[in-house]
Amino acid sequence: MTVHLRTERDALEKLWEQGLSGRSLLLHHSRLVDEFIAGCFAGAAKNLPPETVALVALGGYGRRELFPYSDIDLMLLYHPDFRDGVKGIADAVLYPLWDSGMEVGHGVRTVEESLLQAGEDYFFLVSMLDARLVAGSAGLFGNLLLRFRDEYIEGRRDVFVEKMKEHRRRRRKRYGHHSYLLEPHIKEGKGGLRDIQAMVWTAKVVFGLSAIEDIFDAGLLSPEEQKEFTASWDMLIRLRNRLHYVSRRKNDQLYLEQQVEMAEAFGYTGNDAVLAVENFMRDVYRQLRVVAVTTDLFFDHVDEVLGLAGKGPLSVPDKEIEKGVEIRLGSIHLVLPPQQLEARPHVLMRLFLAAARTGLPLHHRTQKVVMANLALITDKIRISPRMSKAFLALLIEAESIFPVLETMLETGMLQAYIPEFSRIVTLAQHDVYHIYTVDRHSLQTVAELRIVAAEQDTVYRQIVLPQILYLAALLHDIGKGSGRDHSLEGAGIALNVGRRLGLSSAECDLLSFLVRYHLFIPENALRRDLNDAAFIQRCAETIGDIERLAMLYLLSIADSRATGPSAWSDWKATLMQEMFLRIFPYLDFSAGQTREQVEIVRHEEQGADWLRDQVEDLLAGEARPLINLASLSSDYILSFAPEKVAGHIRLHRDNYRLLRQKSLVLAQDLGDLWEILVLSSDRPGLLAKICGVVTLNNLAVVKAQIFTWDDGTVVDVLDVRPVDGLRFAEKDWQAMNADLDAAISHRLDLGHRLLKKLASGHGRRYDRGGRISPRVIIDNDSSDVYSVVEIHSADLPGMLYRITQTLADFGMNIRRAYIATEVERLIDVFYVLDAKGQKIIDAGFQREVVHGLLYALGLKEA
Amino acid sequence: MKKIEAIIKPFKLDDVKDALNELGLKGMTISEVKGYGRQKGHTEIYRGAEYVVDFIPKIKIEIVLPADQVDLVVNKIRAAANTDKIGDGKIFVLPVERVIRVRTGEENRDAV
Repeated sequence: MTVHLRTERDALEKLWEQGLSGRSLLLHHSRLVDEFIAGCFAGAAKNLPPETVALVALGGYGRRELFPYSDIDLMLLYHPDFRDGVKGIADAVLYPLWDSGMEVGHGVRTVEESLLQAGEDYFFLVSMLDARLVAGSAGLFGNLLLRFRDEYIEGRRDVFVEKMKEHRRRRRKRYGHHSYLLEPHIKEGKGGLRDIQAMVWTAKVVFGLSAIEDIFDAGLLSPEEQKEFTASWDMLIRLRNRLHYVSRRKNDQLYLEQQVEMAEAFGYTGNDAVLAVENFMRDVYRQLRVVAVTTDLFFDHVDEVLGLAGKGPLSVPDKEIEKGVEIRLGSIHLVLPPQQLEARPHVLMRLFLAAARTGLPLHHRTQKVVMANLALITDKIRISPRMSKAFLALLIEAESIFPVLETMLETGMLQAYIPEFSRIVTLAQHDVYHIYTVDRHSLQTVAELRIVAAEQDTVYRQIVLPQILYLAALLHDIGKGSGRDHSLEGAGIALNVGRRLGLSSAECDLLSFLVRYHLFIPENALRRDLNDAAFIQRCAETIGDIERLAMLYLLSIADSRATGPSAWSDWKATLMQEMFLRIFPYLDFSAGQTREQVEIVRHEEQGADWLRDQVEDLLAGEARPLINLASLSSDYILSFAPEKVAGHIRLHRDNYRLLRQKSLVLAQDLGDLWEILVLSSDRPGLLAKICGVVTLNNLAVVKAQIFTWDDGTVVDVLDVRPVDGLRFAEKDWQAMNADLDAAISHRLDLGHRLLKKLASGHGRRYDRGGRISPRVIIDNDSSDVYSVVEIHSADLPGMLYRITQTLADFGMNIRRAYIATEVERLIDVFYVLDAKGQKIIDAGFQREVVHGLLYALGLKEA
Repeated sequence: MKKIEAIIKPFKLDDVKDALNELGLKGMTISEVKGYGRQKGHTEIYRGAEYVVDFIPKIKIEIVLPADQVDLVVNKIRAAANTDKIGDGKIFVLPVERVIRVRTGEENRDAV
């Protein structure tokens, strides 16, 4: 007998190897075991009194879903009068089963004992739902079913459902842990086979439906949903069959090392961009998601039928939020007849905005309506400002963003609105590092960003356009799966998405930049020397401004945390923070060289020496410099790449005589900005003259770095933008140099020229001032060495000339200047010393300087 | 048998690893650690908020090897990890009593 079952099961495996799989294999297997057990029973029960013993299959075996290494759940049901005889039957049936090597779960009970057990053990109660008579007394079995139904189902449906939901929640929590994300549990995980069983059990209890087909027939799923669901179910069964055979045991978890051969066995192929195993896992995740979504919606429906909906602790009064969108029983409902929805498809997005703002879920029928109406999201709707307004609003306003985005993803709304997102839906990466699929990771990043923003409040406050940051978090990995550098690829895609959403070109640039550089900080923080000033300077140049730096930093943290436990640690956090804090002072135009920067400079004295050596190496073999390298200040050395410093020294050497009398103006096209290098000899009011000439030549100064060498040579570097629309090549740089030469030899009346230029209407379009009242602050605390003069005013042409000229009139020595323009507002910061080389300490002199500057800014009564 | 413990700057890990691979060294253990020595921690001020970095992130490399190879390996690590700046790290050499390979039970020289 024993040999017989083993042989049969070996034959079954042969059949499987030849292609028998899916549900047929389960049925076949169940039948084999049925026959075996019935055979054993028949032998032992020849002289059995009638109606005394029944063999009952429970659980998966009861459902005839016997996987290759599943347990056999068998109960011997007996009449109380036959207590003495049942042992012989049990021995006759169970021993051969055990000997056949199968795992057997068994119980020997009377009807009474079974009911008692069902009351104590919920799992037993549930397995009773699948009870099936294999052999023996039909009367006894029928009696059990009747009594079970009376005691545990009739009138106790909501208790059953609440318990089922509670177990479902616990299972989700346990198997949703990140150790199961990479290696999904096909049975117990979210969207696994257990979810399907839970649905069937509940349908049995609540609706009296006995099989999945009955659920279909009852119209609980649309025909398309049925098709998709059945296909997913089938795939999961085939997966589990193979898993059992490959593992040679009851293994239901798809381990990383098995995934590759599974992919091959299921006939998946790969290409340069995506591995076969990644394609395979993508499908696995998709099947799991189909099951999860279908069963979720089913349970929502059950809640409603039983009147359990909206009874949670967070009950919210019903109300209309806007036309077509209502709160009812604690969820968001779409209440718009189909033809009206067609006329107002943006309501589909408003639903999610309502969910975001209220923190309530979308009702399951509303979710189905969304799924059924995705075709309304046409190209035309995708560029509708009403859509993007609602979408961007939900990104930043959601109390809890993850559930909202998850529902958008599961209903397909997100992919309908941003079709590019479909590229990464359930996309898996075959490594131990990325534990989430790319779509889920993207959603997780948005959710993490919300947390990071709250934790890093001071950094987050630098950010003027949070919606762009959140959008970047959602799209940062959109280039994955292309086979090319996903940051570069993604930057291009993000740009298109941004344009379609109606973002301004500056916002599009920002979005694209964030996607392009989202790995910049994590990659460099771990691999580069953060004490290398030249490197930090290059980082600052790449990033460009404080807001971008703040955005990249927060995005990097959110991205790392959302990747998985191995991608984030306190250790990495410290390095990334360090990199952020190092770059920050280089971009902080409003604070400039404050105390912390001095601190950093001190830190980097060794770096300056190293850079001096580099400069010396660059100049080796050339004519001797006419300045002693050791006399160049660290501050200056650290501000430029060694190549630039060497360039300055060459110019100084080759134009030594000229520079004593005149000036040298050299411009360089840096794309967005033009850099002007001015070399000359130090004289009072030189910076004012430079600023005046620059303005006269239709350029706006963005930033100025001003250095004076020991021998009185001035090296000023100005970052400028054109205001007349001319291109770099069209500018007459020689004329500008001539203007400056004339100005420093006192042969050009800059004040008069500038006044005339303004009067003639040049720069009129910038004349939006008047609303901003000028402010002057003298700060002696921020810098150890210098007084910091901070000036806020309207951004008017010629303003910089007037300010610098006024400072020159006071005999001030301007050491460094930052000119930042924020929406019509000019914030100038000057690091100055008075004529004696001291800070501006005297209160009377301070007042005088403030008044003089305010007067220059046009505030007469100051 | 000796054990080398080297504390180095994180960005130097690749250089050190490459240098040791050139020597044909077969294995090492790497961990992410934090600490401070003469470099101490430092305080960064950002927008008025103080960020105190008291323990600085470093990488710890552990290698067990026969005593006669120690000098060679130490020199390689020094050369690769050196930036001439404070905070470049330290290398410790410790005696090891026994080494046992778990799978085979081989000991000492055979086990490393």
